[in-house]
Amino acid sequence: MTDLTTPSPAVQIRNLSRSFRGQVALDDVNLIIPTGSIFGLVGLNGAGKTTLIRHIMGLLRPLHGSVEVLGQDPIADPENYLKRVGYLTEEDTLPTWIRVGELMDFSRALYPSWDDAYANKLCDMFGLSRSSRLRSLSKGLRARAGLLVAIAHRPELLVLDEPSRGLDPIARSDILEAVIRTINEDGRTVLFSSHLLDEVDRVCDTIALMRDGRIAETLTVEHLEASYSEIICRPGEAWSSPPTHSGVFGWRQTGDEWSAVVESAGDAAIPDELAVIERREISLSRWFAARAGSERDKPEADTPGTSSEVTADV
Amino acid sequence: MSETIALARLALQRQRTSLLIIAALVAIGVSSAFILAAPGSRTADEFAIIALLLTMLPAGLLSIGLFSFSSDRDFLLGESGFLHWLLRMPIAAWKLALVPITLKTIWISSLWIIFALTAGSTTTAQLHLMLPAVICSSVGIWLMVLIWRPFTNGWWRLGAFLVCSLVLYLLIFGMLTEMESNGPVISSWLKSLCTVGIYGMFALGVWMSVRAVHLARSNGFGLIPEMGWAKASKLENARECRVRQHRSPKAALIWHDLQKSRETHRYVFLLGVAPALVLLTLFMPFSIVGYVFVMVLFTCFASVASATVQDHNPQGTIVLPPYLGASPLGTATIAWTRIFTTAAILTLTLSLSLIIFAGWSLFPSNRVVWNQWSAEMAEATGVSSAGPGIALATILATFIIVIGRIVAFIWPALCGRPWLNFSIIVVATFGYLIPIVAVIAWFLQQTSWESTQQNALYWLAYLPGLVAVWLAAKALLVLFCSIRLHSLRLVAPPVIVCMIGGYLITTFLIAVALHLLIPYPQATLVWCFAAVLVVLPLARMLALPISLHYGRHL
Repeated sequence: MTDLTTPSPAVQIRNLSRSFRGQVALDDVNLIIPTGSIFGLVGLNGAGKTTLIRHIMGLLRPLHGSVEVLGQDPIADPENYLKRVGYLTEEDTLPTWIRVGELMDFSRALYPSWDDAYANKLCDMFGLSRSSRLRSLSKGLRARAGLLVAIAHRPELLVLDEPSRGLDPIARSDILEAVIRTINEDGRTVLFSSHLLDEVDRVCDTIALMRDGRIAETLTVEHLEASYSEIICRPGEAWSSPPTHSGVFGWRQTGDEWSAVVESAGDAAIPDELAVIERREISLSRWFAARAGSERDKPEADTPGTSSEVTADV
Repeated sequence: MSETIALARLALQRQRTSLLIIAALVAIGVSSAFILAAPGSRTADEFAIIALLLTMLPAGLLSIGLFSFSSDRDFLLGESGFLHWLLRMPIAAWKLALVPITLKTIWISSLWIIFALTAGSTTTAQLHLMLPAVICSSVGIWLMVLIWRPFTNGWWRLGAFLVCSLVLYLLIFGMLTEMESNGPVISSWLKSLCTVGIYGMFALGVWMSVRAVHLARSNGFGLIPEMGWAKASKLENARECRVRQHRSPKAALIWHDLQKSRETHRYVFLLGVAPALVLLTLFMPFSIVGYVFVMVLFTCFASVASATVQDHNPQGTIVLPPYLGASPLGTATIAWTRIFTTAAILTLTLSLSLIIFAGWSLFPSNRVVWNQWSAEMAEATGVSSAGPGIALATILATFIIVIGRIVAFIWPALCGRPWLNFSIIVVATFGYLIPIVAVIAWFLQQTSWESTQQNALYWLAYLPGLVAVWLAAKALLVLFCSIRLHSLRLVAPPVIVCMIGGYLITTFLIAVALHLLIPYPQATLVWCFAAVLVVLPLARMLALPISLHYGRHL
């Protein structure tokens, strides 16, 4: 497990809150991203991932709380701060009138650490041509051009907000993951927000789950496997709703079998009445569905007699 | 709820704010006209008609674009501007077209009828009710047709726009000629042709709009040819992209901004500037009116050409796209580089108007007019070079006024708050309109030339005080902006001092030039300097990085 109390973290967020016209987007977020980690940010739509990333990039001003990235305030001196950061947004916002080569030349002028040889290598690797105009490229190729610009100056922190949008599965596994690993091998930090949990699972070493503008949980992949497991239950008599036990959540019904996630991996934590027939290693997607789903259904869970712990799959 | 009602509700809901603004303008205009047209008032007619025009004209212009179910897509693209998600709905194409057309026709006709009836009740003017309502609705309908219809590319849309504009212009011209009792008499068959043309254009517009929606349903992204487009695209991508070494981030941004607006510049030059240069040089004789027309026209071209330097969102606010907002470009660098590029484009476009003046000088008939006017000026002022001096001073003044005013109103949009931008536009509009209306109203109240001159001199005595107050306020704002720039760590104090110094030197040099060019003794160096200081913005130039800072870090 990564030591979350590293003295010089890449990102340190304290009590960050933000609302837009009364709608809470971030609610007292505290987050530390250790230097050199590949940090995955997961959460349902509207959980606040993009708002958090925009604060980290200095595109939003922290009205409550503080944001410190690479030892700097992103707002105070954006000129010097942004030279050290690479950013790929989920939106397809690169100018379409520009050629790939012109975009590279333009970016070279902005980033003093721009590595021409690396940029050309990436250009070949991504299957891009300098003379192609961005408007004539597919969405996936435009996303690759954006990725090239985000990483060719070898940033100390690479922020990828839903980078997989528009990328085909081959590009995702062969290019994106390879790039992220390469950057991380140099000791640089990667913050990676995605809906694709298998990707996050393969790439990230630390994961934070966001829900309703809060960091619901932060844990490493090893910690996930050590702390959670999935149980399969086959009750003797059919349950109209699954039993409620602390530490057991995310119920899901398949035929006459029920599965759930248990918080502690110890056998003692599971009561006999659950009629467990199998115990499995937890996957990130199962944990995410259970955590996000149970969190989402929380208001109903407070009402006695409801089957609120049952996920939408039931 | 039927589809028709649902569509009508959607159209009304989408433009609720615009409808409220227009309704407010109409209410203000009509009530003002009735209040001003008090019985026994000598200038009732003029006041009432001014009040009506000042409110109903913007209301009418705003109404042209209402209910069009259009997105904020670029007019110069081939794709249909009709809301794509609405095209995918299981609603008949004729309903999609006819619901907005009906709403627009009712709205515009109602506006015209209110205007005509109010003008008829408060003034002696008697306006037609039917024909103008139909032609105004036709303008709105044809605009929708042009936005909705997919084209092969933007050039076709622009060509269609020009043809439609010409036809509608001729019909409006014919209608006005027919309505004007003191105007030239036109033959009865031409009158009939004009009337038939007006109704015909309306009917054709309705039919074409239904066809446009039909076509847009299966060609939403434009009429893309199977062969030609692919070839062109391949050719475009085959051209070598040589490596460009930008000297600095600033140079890179200037290159970026010029390249970004290159397509608009091409359109402005080919469709506006070039035809204007040829047509106005060849067919318009030299006169004061001609000069004013050329300057107004080139001001419009310059405004359009410079507008694309900034990035706009659908609310009209200037925002930085993420690739620039998250780039290591300094906020002040972005703000001032963009202003530099805007001013350069404005200067260049306005300078092209000088070609027309040079072209006019080649015609002997124009030289006669010029010599006559020049002699009159020389005689009136006692300075032999008065004519050229006044002409050059006017051109210089036009340049600094146009550039100064356009640059002065960029800062509210930069801070990314639509409400602030809108408020500043409203305040500025009234700030300009109120003095203009006040001067016109004052002028209309005058009974003789002598008393007018005396009254003018009386009021002019307040001018030095007003200018002094204005400059003091400007100095305070400069001080405030300088402190804010420093406190936000956007610019170092020496840069601020350089900016202020550069501004003062530039304004002084312009003032010296104006002082030397203007042959009137009233145009002293102090007065010229004060006038240029008032016209050229400084506080708002300094406010640009502050504004962009708030827009960049919302």
